[in-house]
Amino acid sequence: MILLKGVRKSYFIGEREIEVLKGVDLVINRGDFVILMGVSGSGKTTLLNIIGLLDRKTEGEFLFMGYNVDGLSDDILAKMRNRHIGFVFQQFFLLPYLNALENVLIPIIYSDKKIKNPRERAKELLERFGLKDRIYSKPSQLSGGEQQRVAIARALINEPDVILADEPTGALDSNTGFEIMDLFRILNEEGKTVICVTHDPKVKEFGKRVLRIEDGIISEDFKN
Amino acid sequence: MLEVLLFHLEIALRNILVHKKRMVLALLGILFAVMSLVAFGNISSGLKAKIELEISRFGENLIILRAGIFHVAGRTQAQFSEARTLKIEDVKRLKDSVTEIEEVVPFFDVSYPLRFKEKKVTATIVGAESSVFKLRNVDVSYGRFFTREEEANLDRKAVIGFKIYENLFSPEDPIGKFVLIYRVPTEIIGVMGEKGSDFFGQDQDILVYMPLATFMRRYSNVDYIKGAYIKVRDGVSLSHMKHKIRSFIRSARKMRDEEKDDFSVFTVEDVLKTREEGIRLVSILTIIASIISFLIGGLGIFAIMLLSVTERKTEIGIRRAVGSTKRDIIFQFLAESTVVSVLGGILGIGAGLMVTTIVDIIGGFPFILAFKTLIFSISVCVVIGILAGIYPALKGTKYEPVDVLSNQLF
Repeated sequence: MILLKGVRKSYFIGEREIEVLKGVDLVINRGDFVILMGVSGSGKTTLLNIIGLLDRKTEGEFLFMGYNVDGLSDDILAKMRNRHIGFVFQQFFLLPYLNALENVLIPIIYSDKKIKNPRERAKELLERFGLKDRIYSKPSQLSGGEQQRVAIARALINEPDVILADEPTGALDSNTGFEIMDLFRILNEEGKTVICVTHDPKVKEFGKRVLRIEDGIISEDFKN
Repeated sequence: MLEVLLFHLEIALRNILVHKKRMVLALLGILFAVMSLVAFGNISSGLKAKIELEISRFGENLIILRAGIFHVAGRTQAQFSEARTLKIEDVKRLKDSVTEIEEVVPFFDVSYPLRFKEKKVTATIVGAESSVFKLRNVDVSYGRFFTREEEANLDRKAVIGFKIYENLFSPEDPIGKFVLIYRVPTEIIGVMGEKGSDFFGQDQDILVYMPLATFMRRYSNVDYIKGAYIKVRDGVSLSHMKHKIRSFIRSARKMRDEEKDDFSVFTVEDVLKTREEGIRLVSILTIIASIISFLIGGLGIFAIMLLSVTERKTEIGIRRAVGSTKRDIIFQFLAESTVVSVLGGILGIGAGLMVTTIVDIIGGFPFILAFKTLIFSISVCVVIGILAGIYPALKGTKYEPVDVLSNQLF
């Protein structure tokens, strides 16, 4: 489903070139649950951004769902993200002036998939995540765990193939963090591919496979 | 597509509600621009309607001939000299000789006090033939006009203006009562309806109409007239007729070229001209003022949108991440700036209508809704909203999800 071979990525900070990824080889199969571990600055977020079509590699080979995305325009990449990927972030990034339901519906605005009754589907998702009484609440009225569950519902509304989570438990206490990870585990059991970036060793138990990235290279790759 | 548009509009409205104070500031320029435009459009339409009303009140297709030199400008007519040379025969011949003339009504007017019992009131007494009532659209609300027979008999009968009735008689019934004019008892036979001032500022409600012959022989004992109302046929150019009448009178009097006129000819158009110039000046000033207001309003929206875009870069990032294209982002912010602008326009229309109502009540104009101005204002608002939103919207597309969403640099 996702294939990277010798992928490199460098940034320019002023005149200075910084190589963040120094040749990543990686295959992620459909239905996998990958935990991507690494310290700050190891390149794990950059790798996630490349996989999530938010960023472009500098060198190497990258296939997303069998497509070579190298030459594709920003707009086509946006369409592909909308169709195939659900994002979950550490800071939740819900729009403050919309209620939970409306936040969940945002990807539908940009979707050309014909999702039937998106409002009903969004309500079902929120109910399933225990937010039945929070459907019309604004993010400011929700706890961190609740906000993150709304964000996960938003990631799922458009029926993506893969969920990419960037430190999803980073802003939550450990109990709530476990609940969120458990939710990912259930979604994975239902068939979603999940890739989760974290620096918290405790959450790695939830994944099927753990990757450790160090200094721009994958240093460990083992199955749980 | 429509659903997406509605969603964007809804989001725009929510954002306005979230940032009320800021949005009000952004709206103000547009609000004032539209307010002045709408108020001006309505008021000038009201003014035009009032002028038309005044023309009909004054009498259509009327030319006024007056002995002496008059100068007409705006609402005033200033008399520079008197003349006792205009004779009734002059104007009668005018009617027979100039085919475009439908009717000529000679008159003799003078300001003089009217007495009734101990009360005294100054009136403008107009001696005129009975056809004056039709010519000047005079309506008698109570009683009747005098007749041709009464004119021929030199009857001492008078039709009085509404204020005269109020000041001398009210609540008494004036019909059949006698007032003293030049110490001559004169019978009241009719009261005119309330009319206000005519074009030349003459208060119609202090007029007293009497038969011309009676007035000339039995009251003031003169053989000259003060002037004549001349009605020309429909479709005849009034300014052309003005010249024709002037040259006719000059030649009838055998006046030599170097001799100056001792009479004046003027029309309602002379008054209209100065008034239209006034309206035109005001309209130019209003348009300049609202252009400036629109520019300021546009800048206000521009600034607020720029601020909004900068503040909402995470929102842009998340939208881009979940599949919004750059075009969608541009569309969203253009929709927002347009909503702000149009909202300002709608509030401006409301304010403009309020101003119109107040001015109409004070100025006594009929309330007229200048529908075209409303449509025009809203269209301008849409254009301003889009123009003001372009740069902020483009700026919004510069925010990449990678830059605004990541916790860490790498």
